Amino acid sequence: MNPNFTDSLIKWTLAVFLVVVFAFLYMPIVHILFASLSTRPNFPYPPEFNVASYIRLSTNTVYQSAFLNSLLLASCTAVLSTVLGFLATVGVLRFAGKRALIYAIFFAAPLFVAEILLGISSMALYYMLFELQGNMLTAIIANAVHCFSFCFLIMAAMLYKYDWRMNEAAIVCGASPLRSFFEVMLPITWPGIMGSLITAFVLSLNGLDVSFYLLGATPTMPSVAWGALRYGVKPELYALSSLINIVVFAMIIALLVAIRLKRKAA
Amino acid sequence: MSNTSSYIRIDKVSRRYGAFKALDDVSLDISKEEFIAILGPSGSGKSTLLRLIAGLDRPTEGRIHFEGKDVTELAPHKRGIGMVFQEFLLFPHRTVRENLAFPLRMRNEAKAEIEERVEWVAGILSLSTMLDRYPSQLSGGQQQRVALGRGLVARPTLLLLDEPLANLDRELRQEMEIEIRRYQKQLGIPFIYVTHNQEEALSMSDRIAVINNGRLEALGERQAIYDHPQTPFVARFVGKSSKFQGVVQPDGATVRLARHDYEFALPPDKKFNPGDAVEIFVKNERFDISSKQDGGVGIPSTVVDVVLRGPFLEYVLETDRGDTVIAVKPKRNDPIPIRERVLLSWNPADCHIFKDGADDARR
Amino acid sequence: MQDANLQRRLILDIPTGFLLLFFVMPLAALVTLSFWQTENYKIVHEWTLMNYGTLATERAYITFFLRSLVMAIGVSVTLVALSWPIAYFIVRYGGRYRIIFSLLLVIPFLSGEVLRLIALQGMLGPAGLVNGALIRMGAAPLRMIMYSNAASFIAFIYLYLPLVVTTIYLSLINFDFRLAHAASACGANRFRIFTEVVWPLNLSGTIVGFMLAFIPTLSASLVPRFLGGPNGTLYGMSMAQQFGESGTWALGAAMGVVLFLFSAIALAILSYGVDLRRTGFTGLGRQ
Repeated sequence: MNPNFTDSLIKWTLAVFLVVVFAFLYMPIVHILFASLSTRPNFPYPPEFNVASYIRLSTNTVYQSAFLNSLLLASCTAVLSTVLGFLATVGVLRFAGKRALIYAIFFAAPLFVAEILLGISSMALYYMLFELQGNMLTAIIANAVHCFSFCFLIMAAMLYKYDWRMNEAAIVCGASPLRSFFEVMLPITWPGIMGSLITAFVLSLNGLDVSFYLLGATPTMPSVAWGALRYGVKPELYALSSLINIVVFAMIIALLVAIRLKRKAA
Repeated sequence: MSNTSSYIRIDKVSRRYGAFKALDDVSLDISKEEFIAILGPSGSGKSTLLRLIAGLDRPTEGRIHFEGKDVTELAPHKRGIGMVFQEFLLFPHRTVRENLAFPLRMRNEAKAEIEERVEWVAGILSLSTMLDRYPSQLSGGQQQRVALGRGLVARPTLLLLDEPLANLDRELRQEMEIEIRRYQKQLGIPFIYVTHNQEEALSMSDRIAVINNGRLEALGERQAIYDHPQTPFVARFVGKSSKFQGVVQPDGATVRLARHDYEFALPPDKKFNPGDAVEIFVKNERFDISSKQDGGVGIPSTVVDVVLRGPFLEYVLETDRGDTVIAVKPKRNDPIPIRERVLLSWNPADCHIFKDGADDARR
Repeated sequence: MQDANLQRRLILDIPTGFLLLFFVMPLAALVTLSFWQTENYKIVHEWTLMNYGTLATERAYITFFLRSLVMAIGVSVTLVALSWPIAYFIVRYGGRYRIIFSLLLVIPFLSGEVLRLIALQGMLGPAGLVNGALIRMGAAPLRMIMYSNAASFIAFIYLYLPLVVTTIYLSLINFDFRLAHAASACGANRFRIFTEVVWPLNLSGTIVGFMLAFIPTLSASLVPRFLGGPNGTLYGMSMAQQFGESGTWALGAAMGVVLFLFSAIALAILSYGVDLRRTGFTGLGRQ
């Protein structure tokens, strides 16, 4: 067979496969977007544009407090796990020497423990030690353990290519170590750090398993959604889900555009 | 060199990493307006020495003085030095202008002063037309110049150069060698130039410090280092040479090669005991080649190949004992043909003779 | 010297300490708890192996576990098989749109398990898009995709596909495809290039992808509860019930330990016999 023909056959087969997979991934998301905007949420075709479910969502006080709780939880988790992940990345790449691989495996280990086990075991610990039912702080910490590995890997991928002697170049130019971090290292590596912040934020905003066992009665978005699910899916849930999807989408696009603009400038 | 004239003083400096001695008891005085090359093979400790001078690393023993002031414990960003790296390390997110202004901003210079200095340095380095470009838009040679400019712009006490030409192609390198030397003479500050390339060291510097295994092997004027190496290592490392084993004859005045039927008189300044085993180094351009028919003495050899190197000819010779020797001669219109039988010899004053194992004895 | 050492220690010790306190300690607590007892919603500090005995003998738990194991293996193998062509296409033919393709894959992953399940329910449920369309066309609704293990299976694929594709994508994007050309120049055909060069050099990335799907599937509690139906109870779901409705914490802890051990064993089996030098792993230390 003509190798060029085989090549393009492989290519197009793969392309079709990719389209099918994307459809599989996005159809549910698009479907519930339509459902949230329709008066007939079960079969919203042809699509309508009706924001009633969004209005109901925004006036529902349970969702409001859940939203604020989730926001607090996710922001704190994102910052905590990114700071820790950054230290871990710098430590492994710069200071661990021969033990770099051991440290890296240890730092990535939470990735290989199911979220629900993290939640349950943290709950067991706090209960055994303090007879504590769990609160916002414990939930943030447990979420940060889970997100930490993601942050570590994302930043390690970014910083792996970073030439550390760039900092030295700044220092011999007269920059203090702190200044060399802000003037040189941060501007070069910020996509990795932003990626880590966004990932940790989104993961902890949406994670149910950890918060479920550590937050007790405090409602968060996923736990309220989960609670509502037991009584059947409501259009408000579709609206909530669509909103989160849109926000995530916007964040990613913004990050992408920012990177593009920076690159174009460079 | 007397204490008063030394501008940079490196005093018995050592750097250990655990049991490993990266640098072992090195002392060096550098005067203002001097271009000094630190020459050594990779892993010899030459870059460690540079990092110690820059303050990027601290010595485990010894002191470093700038202009009589002890800077051993001083943080690198307070030393007022300039440094040029092998990989240039220009800040990719900054334009050329911003890269050049960086050291001045770090020293909190006034805006007008910054502009003036950037213009000045861009002027002497012919960078004026590319000030608003980013490093990624520059060629290797241009990046090199920006790196040099960034090192020089803030009136440093001295400029450290860490193999700055290693990433450039050969032609550009030779061009830059001349330029860098010119800047040094123009600015009147010491340049400390680390390299493993002996040609660079010879072409640019006033003095050469040869470093091997963390120790200062030799220090001197470049001509002296080249013509009168004090140790076998320097003889081998500086310039291109061939090595022979020999034995001092009972008369104490001649040396006979171990593997070849060739004897020559010991130069009068060399004193060895009869029966001493010696190593003889002959620079490739110091060989004499005579035709076999002419008679005379020498190592009987055959011309295997002739390589044309610009104004020189490189004869690849194979001795009758099967060793390969390279002899460099000025280009002639009638080179010795390949497969010609010749005799290889040298003027005893032009070779360097050391007692066998002298390198090891020093450890 | 002194402060450089201190700095180095702090940078590595802070995250290490954090993980020891809030990752290793809780797991240790879980193990301890699994050797205790719960009676009437109270923890009794008496050492016993009873929890493990219950798990090893009671038929229901064994069934749940085997079902979870089969499900996890099936899901992970399917995911690797699906993800390879996708990742390969993006890396080979994505060109400058690579980053867009890969981000498009990540975005659905980021909106969280609960919300994604809600979206999937909108597709698969009795009143969802698929069955709704079937009914409208006059056909019978597909029972198979409602509240069954098949529904759970689809959900797991849906949930973890982005994660596995991304992992394999990251492995492939760091793979030097000139090696494939070199193999081709050595006379290897497409199939041999794949089996002898491309696959082995991306094996470690593939194993990571496999594990990242295997572990949450093995411990899953939300999916079976929501989509699994009456015969779809999985081990993780049963474990969650011990901590919720039944209040038998110690038994739940033992189940957690079992899940953790099996995840670790799976990781060990897959890593065993994998020579890192032969899988394109280049190490991490860059001094």
